[in-house]
Amino acid sequence: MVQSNQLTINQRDVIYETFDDEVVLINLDNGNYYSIADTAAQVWSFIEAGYSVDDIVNEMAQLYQGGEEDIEGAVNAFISELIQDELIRPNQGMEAEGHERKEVKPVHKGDAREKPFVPPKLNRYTDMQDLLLLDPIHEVDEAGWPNPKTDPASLSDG
Amino acid sequence: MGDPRAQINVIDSPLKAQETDYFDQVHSAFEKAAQSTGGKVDRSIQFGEFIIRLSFAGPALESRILPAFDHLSTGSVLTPSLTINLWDSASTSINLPRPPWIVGDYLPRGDIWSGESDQMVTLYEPANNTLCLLDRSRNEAVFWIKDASKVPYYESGAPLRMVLHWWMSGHGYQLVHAGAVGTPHGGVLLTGKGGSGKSTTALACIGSELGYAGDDYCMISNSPAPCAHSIFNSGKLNAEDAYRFPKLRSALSNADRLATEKALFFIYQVFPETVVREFPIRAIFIPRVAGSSETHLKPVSPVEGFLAMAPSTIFQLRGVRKTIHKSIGEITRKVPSYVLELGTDIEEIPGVISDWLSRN
Repeated sequence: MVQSNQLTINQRDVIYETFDDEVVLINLDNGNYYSIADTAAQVWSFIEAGYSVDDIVNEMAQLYQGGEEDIEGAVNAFISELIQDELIRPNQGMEAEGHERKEVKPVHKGDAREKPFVPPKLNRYTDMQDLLLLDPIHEVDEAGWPNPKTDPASLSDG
Repeated sequence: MGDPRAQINVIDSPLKAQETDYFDQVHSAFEKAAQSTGGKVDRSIQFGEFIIRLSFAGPALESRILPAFDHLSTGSVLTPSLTINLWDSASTSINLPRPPWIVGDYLPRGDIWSGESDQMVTLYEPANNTLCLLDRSRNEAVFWIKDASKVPYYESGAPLRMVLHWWMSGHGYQLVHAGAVGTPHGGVLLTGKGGSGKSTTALACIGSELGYAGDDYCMISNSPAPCAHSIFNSGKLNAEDAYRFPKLRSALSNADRLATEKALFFIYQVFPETVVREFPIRAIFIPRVAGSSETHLKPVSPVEGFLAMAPSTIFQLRGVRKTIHKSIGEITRKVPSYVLELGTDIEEIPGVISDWLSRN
């Protein structure tokens, strides 16, 4: 279960590009990138528009054919995964203040209500992590510059 | 140590002022370095509508930087849109001024966080002992390396790419991790992560009817239509693969260092007529090594094209990364994407590309 009802995209580290019914998300901080489609892209569009978790569940239940409990469980699990991967964050402050939300169009062409609900899926790609060399700078030399910690050859081109 | 960015108030970061001051100090050191070697050596290259002056403090870095830009050389020194000042300490005996930042100011790979301000971008790369600073308000940059004789081969193949990425991204161009081949009437981007076959594909086209605009990096622009622009005329191959390209032997620059380096070719020096400076982009090809002898094309979605080009570009580049995806997203929506399943017969590759271009 997602603890906070209001969500916000991690704008500092995450960039994303939307293609019809698919979205590609890139986490600049950890090197992971993701593709989401169909119901996952629909949930993302609600998050982007400022919907609360409760509202997202309700909207998804109206948009797709499926049991409400199944939809609630799957949407909550997906949102938890987005939070765990630091793509979005729970936002307690906005909850108290109230939050304005934008209009959302269904990602499906035609009537999505004819479509059975499929649990949203986060496709995660980790093959770029080695380009980040996530070893923090620990020390500098006598001139004030970081010491090389990496074999330069390993930084070479792609 | 936590995330260094959390320790710094980005809006009021004292580093921004420090970076401006430090840029002045480094620039003064560059002037001293030039005096110590008898003066500056100025060269100009032309990229699109822009003249870029490369101002060297002495001759030590010229041969390490210029060959990749030979095809863009203007021959004479012209009024620049951007000036990049280059120097090294080993040949000039002028050291870098002590930096104003501390350990906590470095991001994991050595970037120095400045909030990517509108004015300054700074990057120190510990592994290469290089420092790059760009002051956008002055259209002036400094590139320093500790020892010019130790410029890595891959930097000679794609020199100054971070500075060019930072500056060009504000002038309608985006550096992308992609090769490009085609004719002045149209061509294709070759994209994918390292080892996918970009270089094999691009270099296989030399000697064919297709021109060469790069094997690993090129610039793209989207307005008014998608266009590829050559920025480096170099090409690289794993040393063990170089034997498959005997026609490139005369363009090989590092035959004596192949035990530790990839084979680095400068195409313009030997095949000047084959280097094409720009062309309209008709498609994005994603090379993949396949098992069969023949080469095939398979259409894929725009998302596949974006996934092949955007993450590898974004994570290869440093600084000014938050807008890269927009340029790549735009181009992947405008032109079709294909997987280029590479066969073992590399002679066949340019024909497959030419055939597609002639039909589309």
